[in-house]
Amino acid sequence: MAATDVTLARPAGPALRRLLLRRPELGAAVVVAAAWVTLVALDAAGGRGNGAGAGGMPGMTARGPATLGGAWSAAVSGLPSWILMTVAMMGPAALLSVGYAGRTSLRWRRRRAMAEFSAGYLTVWAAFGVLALAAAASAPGVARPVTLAVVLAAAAAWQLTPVKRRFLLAAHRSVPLPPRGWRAERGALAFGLRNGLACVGSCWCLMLVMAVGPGGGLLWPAALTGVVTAERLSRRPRHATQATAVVLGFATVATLAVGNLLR
Amino acid sequence: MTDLYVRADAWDLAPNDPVITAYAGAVAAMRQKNPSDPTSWAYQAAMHGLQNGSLAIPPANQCQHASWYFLPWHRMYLYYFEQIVRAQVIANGSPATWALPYWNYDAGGDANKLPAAFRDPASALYVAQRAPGFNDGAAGLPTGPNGITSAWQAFDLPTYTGAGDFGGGQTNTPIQFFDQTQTGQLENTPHNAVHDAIGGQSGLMASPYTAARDPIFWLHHANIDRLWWLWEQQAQNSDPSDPNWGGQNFLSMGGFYDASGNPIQAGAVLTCAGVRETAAQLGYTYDKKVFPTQGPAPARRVSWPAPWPGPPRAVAGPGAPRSLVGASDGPVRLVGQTVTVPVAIDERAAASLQAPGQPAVQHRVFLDIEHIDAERNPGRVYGVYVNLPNPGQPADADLATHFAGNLSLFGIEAARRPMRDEPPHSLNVSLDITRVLDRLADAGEWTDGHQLAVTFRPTPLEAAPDRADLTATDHASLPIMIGRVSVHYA
Repeated sequence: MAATDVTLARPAGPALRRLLLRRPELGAAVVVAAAWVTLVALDAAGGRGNGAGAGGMPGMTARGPATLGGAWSAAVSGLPSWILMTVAMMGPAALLSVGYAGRTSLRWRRRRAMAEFSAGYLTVWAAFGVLALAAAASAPGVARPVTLAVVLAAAAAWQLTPVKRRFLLAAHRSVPLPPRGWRAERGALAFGLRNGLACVGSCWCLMLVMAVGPGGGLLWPAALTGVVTAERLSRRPRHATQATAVVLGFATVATLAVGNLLR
Repeated sequence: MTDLYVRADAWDLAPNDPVITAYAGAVAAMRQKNPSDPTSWAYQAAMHGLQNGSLAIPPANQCQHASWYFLPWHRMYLYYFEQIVRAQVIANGSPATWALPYWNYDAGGDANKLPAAFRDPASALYVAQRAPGFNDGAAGLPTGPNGITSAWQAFDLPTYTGAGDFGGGQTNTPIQFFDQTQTGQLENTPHNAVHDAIGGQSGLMASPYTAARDPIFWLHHANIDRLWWLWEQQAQNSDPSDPNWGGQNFLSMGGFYDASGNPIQAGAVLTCAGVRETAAQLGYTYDKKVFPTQGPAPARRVSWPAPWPGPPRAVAGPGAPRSLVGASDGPVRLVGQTVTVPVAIDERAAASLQAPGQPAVQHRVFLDIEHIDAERNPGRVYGVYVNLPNPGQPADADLATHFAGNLSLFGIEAARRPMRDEPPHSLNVSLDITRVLDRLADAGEWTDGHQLAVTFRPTPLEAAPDRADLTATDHASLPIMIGRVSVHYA
């Protein structure tokens, strides 16, 4: 029964303060938005004849057979663009986990916990990026639509495997975070690594599309972001992976039919 | 208005009372029906939960737990089940006024034992798969202020919505179990704890996949429904006004069936807002209006965080965001022994919740037990205590005044291995410990205001001293893992 000697109060403080208490990931959302603004700006610059390749991304342009050393150096030089792309494309889906890391940390170390989570998360994606870009750089110079169709078909098939489903489910798992000291630092970082691994396991095939350099400006990054985010936010993981497989199947056929029209 | 159906206390009815015998007769008849018939016993039970998919029943596994939908979904489920049973009762030549009885295990005396008819192996109400001791009348549910039968803690809460508040936390899509589960206090105790105690390690009641096959399930839930009915009648309480709650009809989960076995048609489906008043909206009531016995004497409110300069001014209202102010450093493992975990409240985190230039607000304090996991339900209930003196051999008076709530694992199977298309996850329990801390601070038993010790103490069943086999609490083969124990200010 309510005590009679006190009144009920709204949470104290201005609206933004209250919002940040509930949604500490808002800062990270701003970073994701900034990544998209950068992508749009780079794409516009590329469109004016700067010769940027994959989705308008400078650096991620190495294609065709290359020496092993050349492939690695191409991968490393493409890494900044890859990370920018990862922040933009995976960010919306990862915000839930970023918010969890913040919300379940002591208030004065929320930002730190979210940064540690993000560092772990992006480290996994960066490692995968180096491998993917190197593979793309050393791939035989097959016509782009064919390569793209093969990657899309592989992505569609991957969607239907039990392994993919397990990774997606793992991305839904949260872990308990210790509150203070080195355990807290390690906990947030490990959660980031773990969540990043689950996301790479779930989405690696989709991001391979970006490594191939599909052309078409921001069409592919935007479409794939939508697919990844919808899949992650869906409360029905099996339904979501199957729906994504169908979408990718259509994309495969369309790519073969339309050829390099989008370029 | 036609006469209301009246649900009666099963312990007021003799084993040969027509209400009991008619129920037994109907259960026997429903068990004979084809499992694909919606009015069969198997079908009705599967609507709550069904682990293997051998019965191709489309609307299986609909039960709503760990959210604000728990109470209204089960009210609807019982309402339609009662109509189906009543039709069978009438077909069997028994009274048409039949209503589902309830089991008020908190009524004192022998009420914490299974009603006699459910223990009679010759009755259709008997099932063998229950925790040892219940079917021979030797074991009773733990009673008292730190037991599992009383809803006194839930009745201390005037707010319906929220994890650890009366009815459970807000979730906008119906689903069986959620990551970050938001169990309400009435669902936690007595609901979950009684499921665990009756089910034990392998009984039907221990898992949502099998619970509704035990005829006592329905009387247990009628009691939970009765407690909600009582709470709704207290002036300061109200059900959610949010349309996400009020408009929810659970059709997306599969829907219910009427007494003839036909699906409830779209125009006639119930919504949560349509089941708030049992008499006016559903045509039934309960036989008596007896509220749960109060817990330990309420303390003078000590303003929070203590010590507080001057008289209390305001306390955080419903829906105030909760912020972490302290947590255990690591996980906790429970195998049937008493375990105490230190949790320090971080001064800097607590102080940061005070908005600059704003009047100070008294916080509500929540104890969260997070990431609770086990391979399957060990069928054990733990009492959770705050700063319990001498945890190894505590005094009864201390157990009553330091009690924060119960921890039980009901639902872990469905959380870990959901039958529907949803992510597997662990469980969380949230307990409002504001009053406990008020009481301790008021009694001068908690003066530093920062160091908390959280004790998990297994709660044995009640049994005669010569039945130590029934009061054993160990479960070494099925450990409970707790990821973190944390304290939050709202």
